[in-house]
Amino acid sequence: MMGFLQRLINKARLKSPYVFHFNSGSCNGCDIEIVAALMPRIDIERFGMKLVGSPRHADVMLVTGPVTEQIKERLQRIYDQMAEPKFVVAIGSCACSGGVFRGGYNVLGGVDQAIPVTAYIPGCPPKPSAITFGAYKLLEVLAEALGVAPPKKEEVEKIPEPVEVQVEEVEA
Amino acid sequence: MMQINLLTELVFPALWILFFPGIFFITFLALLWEWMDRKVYARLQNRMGPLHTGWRGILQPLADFLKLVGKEDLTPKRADKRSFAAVPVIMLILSILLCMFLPIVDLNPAPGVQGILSFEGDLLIVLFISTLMAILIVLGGYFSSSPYAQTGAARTGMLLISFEIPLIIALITPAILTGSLSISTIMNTMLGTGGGSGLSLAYGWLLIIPFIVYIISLQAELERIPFDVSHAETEIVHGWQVEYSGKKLAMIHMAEDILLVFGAGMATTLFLGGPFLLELIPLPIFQEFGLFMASNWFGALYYTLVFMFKSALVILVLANMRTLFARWRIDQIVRAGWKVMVPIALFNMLLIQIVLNLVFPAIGVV
Repeated sequence: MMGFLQRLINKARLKSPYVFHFNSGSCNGCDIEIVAALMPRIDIERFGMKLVGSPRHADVMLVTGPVTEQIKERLQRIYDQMAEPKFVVAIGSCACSGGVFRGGYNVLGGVDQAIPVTAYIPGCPPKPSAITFGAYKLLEVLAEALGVAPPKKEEVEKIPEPVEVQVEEVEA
Repeated sequence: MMQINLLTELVFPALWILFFPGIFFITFLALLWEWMDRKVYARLQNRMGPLHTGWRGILQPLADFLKLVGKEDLTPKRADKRSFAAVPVIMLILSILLCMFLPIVDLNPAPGVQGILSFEGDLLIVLFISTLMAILIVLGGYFSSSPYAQTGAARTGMLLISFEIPLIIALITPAILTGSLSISTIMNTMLGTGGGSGLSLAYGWLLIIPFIVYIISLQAELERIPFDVSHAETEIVHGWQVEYSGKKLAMIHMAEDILLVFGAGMATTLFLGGPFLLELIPLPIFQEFGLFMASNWFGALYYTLVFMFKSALVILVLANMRTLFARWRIDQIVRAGWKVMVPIALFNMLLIQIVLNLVFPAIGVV
């Protein structure tokens, strides 16, 4: 009975990721593209994704921008405030590696320097379609981590290893 | 003999409360209405809405609920832990209790369809509990000890103080017309479904203004979009719910959905004629149809479907309001509440007294 419920909950996790947006020093380019992914043309609510305001409600944190020394602490605190199971998606070249700001005196680098990242979506900024594709890939990774595995508690609560997602440009 | 008594007096009422018009059915309606609301909202914005969870995403609210149940449950260090955990539970219980008063189906519908719980004066209990929900929301915000939650709670208090009064006055109007304080009796007296002839159609005109006032106040009571200052994502992160996660958030979302069922159900019961549709047409064949439905178990199906149909219409109106308007500022809401809604509701009360005492006797409406 518990195993059945656990499998049901795992399936539900794939179907309703609530996303939360954090700007760690981005130029607002990627943020606008995230908003565009919520808009009628490419509506990511189709996959059950909902933009929520509070990190406590969210399953997936979308981080845009290079991580500066100053924002690192806040980023980690916000990450700690999210409830398990939680995943991070780095959106844009800056969030993936630091981008053009890499090597700056106050720039730490990509988001993975501060918190574990599950999926990377490169681009400056990535197209909304690329963000959707990345989100879909993230769901596939989760499906592998959650759905196929036998429903054991420690396996369900394990955060999957960071996976590099190769994103091609998808025409809308 | 003993067993028959056990079956009819214990098992059947238990199933009645737990499954069919009771908790299970209400939860089902809550999830269905949330899906419909989201879908209509998305389609009006030219989006698709939930699409890949079940048929057209119909299982999306269930998936959200299950996912939240399976998530980690966090309690802030500074929160008042026991009260913080109690608020969602009490909210869910009270909202289910509210739905128990709705007359949906009845085992013996011949003397008029009654709710699961139904007694003289239950309208007052319902109004009391719906005010209690407002207080619970404020407490939920204050117990979580977060500045955002407290700001949200203060705003919710402001909002609900403004719109509780027009809501109450609007719901009292049908009670004045029928001279009863029981929700089921009000409905049956108005329609003449529990014996008696029912009120004449002229009384229907008196219910138009209260219905509009009720729909607008309901939108405010549920904190939906023109009135969603209390969880404005762009200003205060998520208002009073900001610290809730996991099971508690699942319970809060479920309670909100059940309140939506209750609000739509109340509009259906008091203003739109409850679970009756074809019986209300004054033709002999429809009268016979009504008697047939009241005498056997087909009636249960028919009443449920009609109730769902009418509630769905109310949900459509609410979803349209959610799409059409932008968020009002708190001062605009309070001004609208006290300078527009309350005077309209009071004026309508006066109008009804005048019409009942002077106009109807003069033109000969019984």
